[in-house]
Formats: sequence, structure tokens, C-alpha cells
Amino acid sequence: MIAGLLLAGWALVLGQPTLVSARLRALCARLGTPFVKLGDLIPAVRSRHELARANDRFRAENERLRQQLQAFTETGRENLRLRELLNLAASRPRKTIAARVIGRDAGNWWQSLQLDRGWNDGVTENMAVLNADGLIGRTVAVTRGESRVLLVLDPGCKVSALLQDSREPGIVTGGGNARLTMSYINRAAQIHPGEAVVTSGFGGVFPKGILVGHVERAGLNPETGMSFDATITPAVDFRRLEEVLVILE
Amino acid sequence: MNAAALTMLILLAAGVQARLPAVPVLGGLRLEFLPALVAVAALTYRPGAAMGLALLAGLTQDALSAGPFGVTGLAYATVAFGITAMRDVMDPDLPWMQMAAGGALAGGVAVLGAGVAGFSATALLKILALGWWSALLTVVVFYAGDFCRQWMRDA
Repeated sequence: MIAGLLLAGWALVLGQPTLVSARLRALCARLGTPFVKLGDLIPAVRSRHELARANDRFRAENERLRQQLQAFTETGRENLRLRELLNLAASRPRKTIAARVIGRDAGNWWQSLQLDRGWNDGVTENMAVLNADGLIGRTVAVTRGESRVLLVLDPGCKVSALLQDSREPGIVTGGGNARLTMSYINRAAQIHPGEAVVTSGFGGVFPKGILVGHVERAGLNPETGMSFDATITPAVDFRRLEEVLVILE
Repeated sequence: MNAAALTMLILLAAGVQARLPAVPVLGGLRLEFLPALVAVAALTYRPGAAMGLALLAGLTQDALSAGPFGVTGLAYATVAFGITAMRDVMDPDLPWMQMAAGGALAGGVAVLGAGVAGFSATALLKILALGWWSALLTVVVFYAGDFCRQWMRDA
């Protein structure tokens, strides 16, 4: 009976952000993380052929990124000139830290990643995480040497975003599968397939201008009919994440 | 199975669960190994030890997940509590009892998880698939444990 009462009491405070649960979570993460890292032994056994293929892929990606960087540098210079012209303050480059993905979600009901950076490295909760392709998610739980990232694919991760061409705002939510939904788009908006969706900067978590994905199709919200819902293909391939960037400020 | 060995297996299973990719042919399901190990503890250990191991398994899985901390621990501890309370009428050597225990543990976690994340037709299929997988794996774990015990005795 005592055990039953304890369980009932626990159920009442389940998920509350208490100091006890935070310390317990940190302890359990420290217990489990070395076993997660043991998984490094599995991918380490690769054939030479696979390594050569991976090498070729990285070379091509490197070349593509170099060209992109060149184009962005030019755009950045033009941007600076225009800002000076309009007398706007120049934005500082964001402080970031690279992190390695060491694990995924151990359950089947949430979409998250485990990174090998924690508060020792300056990572705290609610920091944006991205890679060269686009937005990945935000940090939700941080311990000394590791952190957990809630992916944009998770229904619990909501992103304030803009359609890049029409600049119409909306909220992007994950559906627990490989697609995102952008909701609350103005009924009068002109949405076309392939249009890019970027973060709007509202909400204080995700900086402005990070690519979220591209519109696949759009239609009126079936429940209210008062706004558009658009299905978004994420820019990031979440199956192949190995290194990510965490924005520290 | 020795309690220390089962503890290490639980931590290893949690790490493997967090590391293995989802299985595309099963609709993107991630294979779970913890319910089978908790079922072994619930069917063979004293109630205190069984619930302690169930809690360890659940809290470790929660620490390696983005869900509310304690959900899985609560589910495992509650179902393990129920299994240990019914042990007088359950024969842990019967395969279908083992399957029932593994399925109940996985199902309990899945129902709570779906309750937090949201119920849907897909969630229901996931609950059933996870229950079946854990039920079968529990029998395999018991068989492997018996085989190892027999092998060590003969050696």
C-alpha cells in the first residue's frame, strides 16, 4: 500500500521541473551515456569501400559548401553596404559550438538527439541547434557533459517561421513523422510549392533566417477554414545527423 | 540471473536503444529491449529488488529521452509492482506468463507515452507492435538465461 501511495504521489508531480528531478535526470544520464557511447564500436567496423564512398560524398559536399560560402560572402558584403547606407547597426556573427550526435531518443514517442556538449561547454536550455542544411531543433535538457535536443519533427517543438517569398508568418510543428506542418498562415497568402520556410526570429529561441524546409503543398485548415496549413519537407536529413552546431547566444 | 549482471544489462540495453536506428519496415519503430529485462526482474526477484531495477530501467530510459522525466519509470514500476503482487498465482517458467509480463510492461510504457504525446491510430499500432516485440523478446531472454545457467553448471 505504501508503494502504491508513493507511485500515486509520483504521478502527481510527474514531469514537473523540480530540483530533485533535474539532479536525478543528470545522474541517470551520467549512468547511461557511457553505454550509449559504446555504440561507437558498432559503426567503427566499416568496410573500406564504405569509407571510400563516404570520403567522396564529403569531398563533393565540401566543394558545394565552398561555393555557397563564396556566394554568401558576396551577399554579406552587399548586405553590409546596404546597412551602412540605411544606418543600421551591423549584426554580430553568432557564437556557436560544434557538437557530435552520440545518441537518439531511447523511446518511441519523442524525437530527440543526444549531443556530447553540456553546460561545461556553455550549452544551456532553449538554444537553437542547426547544421549546414538548416534548423534541427532546440536544447531541452542539459547536464555537465551532454545535452538533449528536441527535434523540429517532434510535436512539442514549435517554431515561429516565415514563408521566404511572401513573408507571411506561421507556426511550424512536427507531426512525429518526417514532415512538418506550418499553421495559422493568412488565408490571403500566396503559397507555392517549393517556397522556402525560414525562422522568423520571434519567440527568442531561434534566430531569424534559418532555413526550416520547403513547402510541399498547402490547403485550408480542415477544422476552422480560417487559415492555411502547409505541409513542409524539412531541409535537414534527420536520419544522417552526425555533427551539429549549437548557437550559444 | 544475477542482480549485478541484470543491472549492467539494463544499462547496456538503454544505451543500445538510444543508439540503434529506427526500423523502416516497422513504420519507423525503435526496438525496445528494456521491457523484457524488467519482466525478468519482476518475475524472478523479490518485490523490492524488482521495483528497484524497474525504476532504474525507466529513469535511465527517461534520461536518454526528451519525454517528461519519470514517465517510463512510473510505468515500469507500476506494472512491475502489479506483476510481483500476482507472483503467487503466476508460474514464471511458463512461456505465455513471460510473454504476458513483457507485453504488459511494454504496453504500459507505450500507453503512458501515447497519453503524453497524443493518441492516434498510428499510436495504437505502435502500442500493439511494441507489446508484441517485448512479449517475444521476454521469452528469448528467459531462454537465454536458462541456457547460460545450464552451460555454466555443466562447465
